[in-house]
Amino acid sequence: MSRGPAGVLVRSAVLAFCWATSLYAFIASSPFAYLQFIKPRVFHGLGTFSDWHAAASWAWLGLLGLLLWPRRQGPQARPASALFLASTGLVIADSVWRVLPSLRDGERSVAVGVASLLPIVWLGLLDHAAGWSALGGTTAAADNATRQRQDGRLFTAAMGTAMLASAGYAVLASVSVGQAFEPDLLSAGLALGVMASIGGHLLVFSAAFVVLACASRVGGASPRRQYLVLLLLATLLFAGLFTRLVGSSVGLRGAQGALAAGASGLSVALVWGGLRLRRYADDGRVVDTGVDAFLALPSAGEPGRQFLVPLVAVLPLAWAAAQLAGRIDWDFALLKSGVVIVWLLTFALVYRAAPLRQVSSLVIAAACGLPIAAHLAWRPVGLQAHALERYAVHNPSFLLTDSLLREPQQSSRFDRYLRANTGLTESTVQPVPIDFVSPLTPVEPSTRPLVFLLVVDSLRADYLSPYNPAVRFTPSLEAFAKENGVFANAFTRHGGTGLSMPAIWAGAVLPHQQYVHPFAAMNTLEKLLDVNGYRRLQSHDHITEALWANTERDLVLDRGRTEMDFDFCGTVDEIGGALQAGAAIQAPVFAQTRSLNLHVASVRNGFVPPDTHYPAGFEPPYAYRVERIDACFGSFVARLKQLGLYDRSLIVLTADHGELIGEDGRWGHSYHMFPQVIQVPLFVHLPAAKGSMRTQMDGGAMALSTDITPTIYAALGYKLSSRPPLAGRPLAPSTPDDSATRRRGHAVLSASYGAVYAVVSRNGRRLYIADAIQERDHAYERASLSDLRWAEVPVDDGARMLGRLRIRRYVDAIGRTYGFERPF
Amino acid sequence: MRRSLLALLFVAYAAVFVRLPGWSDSDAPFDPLEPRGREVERAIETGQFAAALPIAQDLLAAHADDATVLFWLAEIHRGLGRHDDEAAALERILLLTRHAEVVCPALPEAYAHLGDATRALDGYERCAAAGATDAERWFDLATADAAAGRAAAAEQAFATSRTIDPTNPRLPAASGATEARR
Repeated sequence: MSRGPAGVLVRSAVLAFCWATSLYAFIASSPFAYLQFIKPRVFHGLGTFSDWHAAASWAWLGLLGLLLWPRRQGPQARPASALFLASTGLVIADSVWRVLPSLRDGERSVAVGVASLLPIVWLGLLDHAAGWSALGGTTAAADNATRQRQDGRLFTAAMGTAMLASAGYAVLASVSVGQAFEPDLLSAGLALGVMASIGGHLLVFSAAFVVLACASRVGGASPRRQYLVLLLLATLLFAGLFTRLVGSSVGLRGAQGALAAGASGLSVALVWGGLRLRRYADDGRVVDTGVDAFLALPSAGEPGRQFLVPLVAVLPLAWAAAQLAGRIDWDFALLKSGVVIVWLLTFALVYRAAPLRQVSSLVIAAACGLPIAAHLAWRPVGLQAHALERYAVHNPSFLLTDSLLREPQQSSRFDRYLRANTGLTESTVQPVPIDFVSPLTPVEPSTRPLVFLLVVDSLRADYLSPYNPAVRFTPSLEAFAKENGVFANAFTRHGGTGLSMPAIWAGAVLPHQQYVHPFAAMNTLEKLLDVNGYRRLQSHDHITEALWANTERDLVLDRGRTEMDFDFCGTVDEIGGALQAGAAIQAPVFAQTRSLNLHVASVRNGFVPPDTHYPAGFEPPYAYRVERIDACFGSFVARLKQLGLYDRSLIVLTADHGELIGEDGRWGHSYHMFPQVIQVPLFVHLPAAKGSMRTQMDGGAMALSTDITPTIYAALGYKLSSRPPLAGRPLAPSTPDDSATRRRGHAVLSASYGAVYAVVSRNGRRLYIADAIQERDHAYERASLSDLRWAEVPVDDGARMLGRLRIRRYVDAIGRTYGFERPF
Repeated sequence: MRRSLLALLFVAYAAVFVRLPGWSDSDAPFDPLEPRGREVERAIETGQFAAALPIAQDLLAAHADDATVLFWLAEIHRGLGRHDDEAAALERILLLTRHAEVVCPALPEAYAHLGDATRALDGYERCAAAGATDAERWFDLATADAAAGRAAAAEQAFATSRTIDPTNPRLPAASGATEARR
């Protein structure tokens, strides 16, 4: 295959297919990623990739054949043939056993991920064998003067890259800040951010210079040894980046995480090095330093003109990388990866342009020493730290330098403790019965209402007019709210569906495990329905299928649809149809669904009908879907009224969690516990017979998603005889004592998919977040209940102390309640 | 560049990036996750305050002015009914952290238990001032003002509480009570 565009394209396709396959397999190996993304096919693209992988692998094999064709003769004929044969075997195995669709969490997926990198590693080794001669027979200039010039070139490249990256991203950040409301980033805050960014970049790149210079010396005078040392360094660098950007995000830890990171790092380093060596060899050029082998030989052109290339390239490159990351990112993993690519390319381009010129030791010492001294001497706290947090939102390159350089907090032991108690994967946690009423006996048939639990995944309260007067596109919910209970101050127990839905059903906080089996003893809602002979109409998603018993007896809603296609309108229409056909005549009906209309994966297509507009501040594709849901909910309520069932119904409309819609560049919910993710809408319509309960709801007091099931118990007339540990409490009837307890107390919430915990206090107006993944904490406040804007405030020692104490007690209580104690 | 300079820079960067142990340990605060801290926590959780007290006192001797240890001590004293010691610990925390949420409303409640209405009222005032956006702190102050017969001050505090959170169902009744007292 030629080195022309076609050759580059073929090679890129071969490499991309292998890396994509390994990444898929590594992600699938994580229990939470498998359960929450892969299995429910949250992202259609991932599912399609898996479905078509076996077929696509034949095309890949063809491309690999093209790539290897020129090597069919000569010294590489045998290893190339062996690679092709081995790859053919892998492709046949993939077709016979349909490997990717069969992957699930566990070691097998890691093994498949590593195996899918083998062709790349093999190719890389072939390239090394072919290009090794470019390093052979030469010795790196050992004399001091040449060494000084090489150091000078490397130093110039490092400093140039630092300044270019700082400047390029500072320009993008200034534009971004100008378009946002950032009171902390007026002239002083912005200047502080730019200075901190320059300092951070200088520190990172001067460190890169020192490491590369050291590595060259460790390799001695032999360019081959230098190269091997750098190859090892590059492997470690990419493995580290994989761990930091991918592994920690999806919970890939321990030996499996190390294996995945190591294999990925090695594959990237071998491909990069192999391609460079091969190119030198093909061109007949000789490389006499290891760094040159990886980057570039000194350019023959004028340095000034050569510098122009990276200068012009860095800005659009940085912008494009940030745009690409966009809405599909997971905790900035793609954004940061994009910055790494921009850094590497910029470094390579600047290095290529940098002349072989000596730089005095004094200048080097000063340029390296100053950022170190500044880093050690200046620890931003209070308002400065807050301004820098805000600046990092707009400057991804600073975000990365900041996360690389951040000092560990005083008590990272606390973070380790949280991580050890989160995302439990072993099956040692046994189910513990949860009962609100013991013994649970049926209530009078005449007092059994129809129960509708309508959950809209990712629905935000501030897109609904009962919560936000600026909303003009949810008239049905506005009318519904006027007649019924609206909880202005509701929070989900868990950010993320994975634990949020089970906690709603249990009416209690559960161990941080997906999942505890069998779940029946903990599913208080299912017990209630069973004992009272309810007929269940349910959408079957991956969690109901995993946790509900006797699902074969359900009238299945959304049958034949994939989970991500669960549409609120279609489902409530189906429920209405079933009721019209008499579903509630023989037995009371319980209907439950979790609609995915608003999930980030659904909204991502950005569809909004032409001539449909929303006020500024509302994301049109999201608002359009909310408007549609509102209309369908209105129709559903009207249908219930028309059928004479409305007054016999208990309707709960809520969300399993909220959503980030571009706030601070974040989309979706991930394992974040920001206010937009944990605050949820909650509407409760009680049957007419429970009119007195309706007047006893305290809609302004803090409500939790775990209160929903206890409320259903109360609406059926049960007096809750016990309140299990960590359980919710009925939202109605609410006595003055209940009301005071809710308003004066605090609640600890946690993310479903990572060690991130939050404490809500001051009746839902203050939030402390302990993020043990990023090892950071945050605090937010809002002035009043009607204030929709949460302002991030500095975390003082008192807030940290109290927040951590409350979280620790909560985590300990879970361990005690469910009978496990984790080491830390 | 000389080897010695390179080696020096390498060590300096290693210290920054690898975060050599010892760099920040000197001023590290007490870690509540230490075994003895967990012992105190467990004892408090299970109501064994007398058992928790000597451990917490030992910890305080080793970590003077540590807010977590003081907080435990305050809880222990409350559990033992020693509200004067509780109030002293809470006062110290408030002085150290200036974070009202840590000590409110426990601090004025401790004075109330001691029958010191003046200091209780002062405590409620400080809690309200320190947690100005917390409606409940203003509600507490209003209730204390009303109990002390300061109707005008109570009305004002109720009004502040109402402004922050108009949905509190206890507000009208409490307001009426003030009227009745007046």
